[in-house]
Amino acid sequence: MTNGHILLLCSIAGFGSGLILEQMNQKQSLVLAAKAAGFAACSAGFLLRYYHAFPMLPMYIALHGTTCILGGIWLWKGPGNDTERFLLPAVILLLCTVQFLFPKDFYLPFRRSATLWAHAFLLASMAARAMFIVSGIEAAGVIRAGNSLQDSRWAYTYAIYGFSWLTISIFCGEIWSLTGWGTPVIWHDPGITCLMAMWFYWVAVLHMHYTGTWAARLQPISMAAGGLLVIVLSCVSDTGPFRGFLQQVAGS
Amino acid sequence: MKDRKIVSPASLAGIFLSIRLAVVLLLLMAMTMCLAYGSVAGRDTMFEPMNQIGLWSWMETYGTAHLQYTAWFFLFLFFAALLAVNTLCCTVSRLLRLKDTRTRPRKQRTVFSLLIHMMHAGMVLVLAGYLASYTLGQTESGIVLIPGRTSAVPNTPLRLELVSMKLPVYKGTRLEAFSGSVITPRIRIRAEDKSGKRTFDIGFNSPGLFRGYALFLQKFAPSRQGAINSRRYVVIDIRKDPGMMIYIAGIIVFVTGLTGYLCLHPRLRAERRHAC
Repeated sequence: MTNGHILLLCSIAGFGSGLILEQMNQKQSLVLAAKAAGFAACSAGFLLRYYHAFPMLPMYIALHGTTCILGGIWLWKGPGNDTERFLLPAVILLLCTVQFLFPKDFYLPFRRSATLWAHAFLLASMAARAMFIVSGIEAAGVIRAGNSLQDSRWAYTYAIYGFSWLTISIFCGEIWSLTGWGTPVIWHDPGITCLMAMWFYWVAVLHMHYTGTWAARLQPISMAAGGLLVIVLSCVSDTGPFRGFLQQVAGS
Repeated sequence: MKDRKIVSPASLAGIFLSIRLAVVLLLLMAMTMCLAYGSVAGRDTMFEPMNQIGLWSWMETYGTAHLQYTAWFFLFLFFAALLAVNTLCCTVSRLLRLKDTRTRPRKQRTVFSLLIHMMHAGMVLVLAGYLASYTLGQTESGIVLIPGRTSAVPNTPLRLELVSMKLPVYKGTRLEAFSGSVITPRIRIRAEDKSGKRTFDIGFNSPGLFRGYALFLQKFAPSRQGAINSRRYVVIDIRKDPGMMIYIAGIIVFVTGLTGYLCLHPRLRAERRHAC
């Protein structure tokens, strides 16, 4: 087990205890401490991987970074409604566990990724993924409460910022591709198809909202489905073969 | 006898003016890209040549030979073409409506609408640029240069010479796997045609430009200190891309629209809340 895996395990412990303590309505300071510990371990793992690749780009790290940002949002937002209180930490915990059991951190970085555009592409895409997931969670809360999306201040705010970050990420990727390979799109990278799928889906959702296309009740459903889509696509592209828990620990 | 429905140009335009069509197309494109993941993963050799031989040649060769893996790309092209027409129709029709003073909303709202249309126009420009790039672009790939020897580039008036290679070796301990390797090579090249010559440096992500051609570093050797094969050479790709300026203009237009939108949106929202 590498230092990165140990830190991931610590973040699972931190975020997991935060979730349990919050569900048990324990003291807020205790919940906050657990959340902060999970966030610190997760961020340390992320920075460690970055440190061992910089000035190149660490490979398949977007899921890890997305989890860190989600942890930060959970820490910053505090307890929301019941759905958020459960779903947000549950998603964070799920993403940490998936990364621990299906690691894909064994690839070496490549020389052509040593450019500012590559880093901007990765960091903006992580911010976008995190915001789409939070937007989906907010929408799930709206569906559960039987409200309309107008009642949720955050669902669309996060969706708009998610869209903006993803657009910036795609354009940065395009410039990286142009300076590195001479073409605007790298069609042979499956990760790019995932990002494009997310972009098209969320553009459709935003168009549905702003133009009032289709029934109002479909809008939160489409947003919640969008959050789920981002989770699935991020996991599919950034996880490797299954390594059981015992196998991971025994590896140490 | 049954009456046959005739699709008039007006009703056809009506279809393309529909935002529902845009939403359906975007969802279909998202679905196509999800399916694409399974087709592209592990088959990069099937899609990589598109960047070298251009869209038409790729479709005639790799595209049709492995249709079970490439069908998504043809679907994607079809949807993207429809979306571009739809976006253009919607943008033009709404801009005309904005021009009409009777239906024009107040100033701030008009600016907001214009910003959204800027994003749409940017998107159309980006798609048009891609099309120009992949159909009209010229690529000469795998040009090998050896120090001290001038090589003519096929199908171009260019002659290239590898002047020198700066290959700084990584000596740190942080990037263990790259110890003794070259991460940031700098290659000096002299390019010439009938009208003159120029010397410039190229590296990964920093192409050289000469008479509308861009030179991209693909490979170099030796990439490691003490490599068994110590022959010095570089492999470069040469491209002439008429679509590049179009999609860069598209990116600039889109980002300008998006920035303005993000600045104005909270203000309008707060105003609407205040009015409520």
